[in-house]
Amino acid sequence: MPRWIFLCCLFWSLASPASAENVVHLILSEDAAAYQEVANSFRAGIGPRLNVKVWTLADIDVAQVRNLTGGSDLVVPVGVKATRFVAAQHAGQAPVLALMIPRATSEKLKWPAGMSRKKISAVFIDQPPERSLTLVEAAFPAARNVGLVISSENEAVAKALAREAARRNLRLTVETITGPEALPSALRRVLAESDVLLLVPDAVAINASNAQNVLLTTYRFRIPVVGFSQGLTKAGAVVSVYSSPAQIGLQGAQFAARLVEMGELPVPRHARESSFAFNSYVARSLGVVLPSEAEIRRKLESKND
Amino acid sequence: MVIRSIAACLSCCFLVVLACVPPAYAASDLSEADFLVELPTVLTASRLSQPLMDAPNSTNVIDRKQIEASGYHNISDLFRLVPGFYVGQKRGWSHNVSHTFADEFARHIQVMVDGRTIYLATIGGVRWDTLPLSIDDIERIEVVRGPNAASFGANAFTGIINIITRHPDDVAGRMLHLAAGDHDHREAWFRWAGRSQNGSHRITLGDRRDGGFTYQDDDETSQIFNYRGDFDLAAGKTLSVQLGGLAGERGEGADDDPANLPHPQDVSSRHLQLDYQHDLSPENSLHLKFYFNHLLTEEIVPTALSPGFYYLADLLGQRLHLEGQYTQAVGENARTVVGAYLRRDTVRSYLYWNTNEKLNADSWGMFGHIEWRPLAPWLVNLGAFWEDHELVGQFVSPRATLHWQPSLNHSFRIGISKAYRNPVMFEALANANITVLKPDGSVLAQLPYIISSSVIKPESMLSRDIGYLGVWPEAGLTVDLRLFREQFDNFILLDTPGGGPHECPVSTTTPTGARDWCNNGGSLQQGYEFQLKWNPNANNTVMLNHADLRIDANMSETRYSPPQISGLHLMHDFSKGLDLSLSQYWVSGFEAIGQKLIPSYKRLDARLAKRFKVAGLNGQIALVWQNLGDSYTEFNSRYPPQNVFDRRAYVHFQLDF
Repeated sequence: MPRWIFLCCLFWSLASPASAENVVHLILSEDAAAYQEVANSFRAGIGPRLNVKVWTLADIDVAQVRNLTGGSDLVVPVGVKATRFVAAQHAGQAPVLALMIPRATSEKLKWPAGMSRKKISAVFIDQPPERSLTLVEAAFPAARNVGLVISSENEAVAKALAREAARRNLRLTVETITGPEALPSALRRVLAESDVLLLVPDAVAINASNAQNVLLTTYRFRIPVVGFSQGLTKAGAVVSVYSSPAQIGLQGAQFAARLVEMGELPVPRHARESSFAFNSYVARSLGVVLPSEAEIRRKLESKND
Repeated sequence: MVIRSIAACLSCCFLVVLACVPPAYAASDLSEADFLVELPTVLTASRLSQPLMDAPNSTNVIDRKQIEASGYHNISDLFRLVPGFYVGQKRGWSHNVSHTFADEFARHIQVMVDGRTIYLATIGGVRWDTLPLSIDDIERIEVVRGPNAASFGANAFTGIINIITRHPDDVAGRMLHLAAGDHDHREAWFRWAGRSQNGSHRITLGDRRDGGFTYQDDDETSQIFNYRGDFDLAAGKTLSVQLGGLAGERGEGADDDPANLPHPQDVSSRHLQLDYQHDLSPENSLHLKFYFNHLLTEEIVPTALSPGFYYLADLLGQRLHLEGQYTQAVGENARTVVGAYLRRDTVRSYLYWNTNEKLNADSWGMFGHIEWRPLAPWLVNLGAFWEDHELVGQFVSPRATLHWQPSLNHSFRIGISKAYRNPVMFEALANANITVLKPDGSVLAQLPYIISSSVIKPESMLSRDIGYLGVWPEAGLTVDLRLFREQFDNFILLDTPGGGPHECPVSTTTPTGARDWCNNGGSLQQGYEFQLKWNPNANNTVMLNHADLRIDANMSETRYSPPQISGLHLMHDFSKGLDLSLSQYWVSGFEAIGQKLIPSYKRLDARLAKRFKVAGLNGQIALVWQNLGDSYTEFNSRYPPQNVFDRRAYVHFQLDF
């Protein structure tokens, strides 16, 4: 081969992405602040190991996704819309790490048949049941009865919480609803038996359109609410535990690093880091004395979450 | 041709099948948006009630659980659960609730239902028996011990009761409640509650009967209607509408009272109330309230002068009230409320005012209070109420309280307050004559009865108290203590024929035989009130109440409220829906205003209830015993007393369907 062709090939191979571990494609569901926060934190967490390319769902089309997922670079969809799009158009090759999606949605996604489980993972936006109940115990030490309203799709979550509650000597009262019209009466029945109401992500049981009714009802019953987002705490839940977009991005970066080192993604899980939001007005009005954040963290750590 | 139609058929089927297959994404609509969404503040500063720890008065809340565990069917009996409250019954239907000032008309407490006063502008006090409200429709009752006009308006004198009714959403469905028991007691209640397109509604219908005390003509029958509707007009704007009515008969009179032989009293009461709340922002809101009360009692009273001779004792009282209130939270450390109101009281009674014309008394006023945390463990509550009342002129009721809260679980409070009780129309303008009529309706004689010959000033009170509220959450223990010193002046009294130096001066213009109202006398009240609540575990509650009162009065009635009132309550939840509650009361003897000596008594009440499910419906059956011990007497003005409270038992059946 002429030397110049050899040198060109060498330059070419050096210049282009040499292997799957060098480029990561983030696909954001939207161009909003939360998704940017995930991207920035992911980038900061991954450092110089990988080259991060950020796309927005609006800027990318089916052909490009098929092209990306046909290669060996890690694809990181952020949010449910992007993840569903990637899952639907997946060409069967690239590993996928979904970020900031609910566990329930993640488990219902369909991936190409031939793909190895070790190439598909996720960092969930929700919290594990142990963490929610540890928060209940830490914030409401006198509480013995925890109430939960859940739709029939979330039975698995209810079962996991029930197992956890039994381990901790808490009584969990669960009402399962099949549709939104059953919510008011189920909520009343649960509140009558509870010291604390636990809200878990459930499109039927708690959403932007019924949050007002749910919170006003719990206040009329004078039952404090433990929520799962900052939004819920601002609305009226006494305390919430949640993983911020930045914390999820960081966890995602750690997963990506693992892929580089071991060639496989860890099992899907929640972010290790979490934050708390407190509503001191509502707490005070209900006569609830909230422990400090430091104390709650201590309890969470001691439960070895 | 055949192939084409088969193809068409197949494609049709395929399309149908496709339409039936749920889209792949319907399984879970949950997304990260549910976690990231910005929600409006639902529990805004104005919707949040002030925690008990911060309240300027010692306050008790009787909640749904206590209401049910008590087994009481009379709302007035619920106040036995509050320290320092005296509950008495003069006639089967005539209930009396008072705090540190037991008097037959119980004129010294302000009583409200959802902020609507039910205190009578005519003769004062509260006709508990004419309240068109079922005990099953009460969410909770907030009871304030001590004065607080700045928050509750005029006549919030020795205490305030605010009965809060249940929101229609919280009682959705249908409910039937039947009760029967001693003294021919029968009750039937039916409630329906549900949502319509624009709001939630609750309708309650009731029928009550009771035979009253054994040796008195004091039976009652009532038919009751009550409606409440809550409407969400737009984001942050709600309207609540309440409508109620009661009609019935009450047994009045006595065989041995020649001026008041046994006869029926017809009662009719109704009310309309509108509450509009507008949350302007999470920090401020506007509340407008309007209500109309109407109570009419009609009696043809036979006398012993001669068969067929009678007089009419009709009494009409109405109230129109319009009020606006603005709440503003200033940062995390302060909240202010300001408001103003207009009110018209209307009365008519030939017996009390010697005219068939309606008489009006108008008043208007302003109020304001501020809760302010200037510096960490200190909290200041300042308030004032100003009123201009046609009958008494203008006056101001200020209140100041300072809290020291070394931790979130303990609160110490010191406070001072000046309060007034306005004379009611009967005290201020009385011109009562018993106009005895002959059987043909012509006048036989007019006997002067009670007049007001002088200008009646409001009763006044300077209250000083020290309070403590402590909570030990892990132990499930709450302790509430109040020490008070209250100076009363200008008591409104009826003169006593042949009375002593502290009675009303006998006016030369007083017609012979008539009694006259005047302001005279006062007293110093000192004492303490105490409540301990303990939840050792989820199945048990113990509550202990005790109140001690020392009265130093410069008038003839010096022991006008029981010196000691105690109560011990136990609630136990067995498993499988069975629960038991026991209440033991000890009340020491006293002489109520205008009454003879009422001896001390003990009383034990009990309730055993079982929840059950039948055909998928929730039900409850309860056995209630009132006074398992010896019989005793409450209020009485006759000797021997006729209102002897004996042992009673009742059965309650309730079904939700």
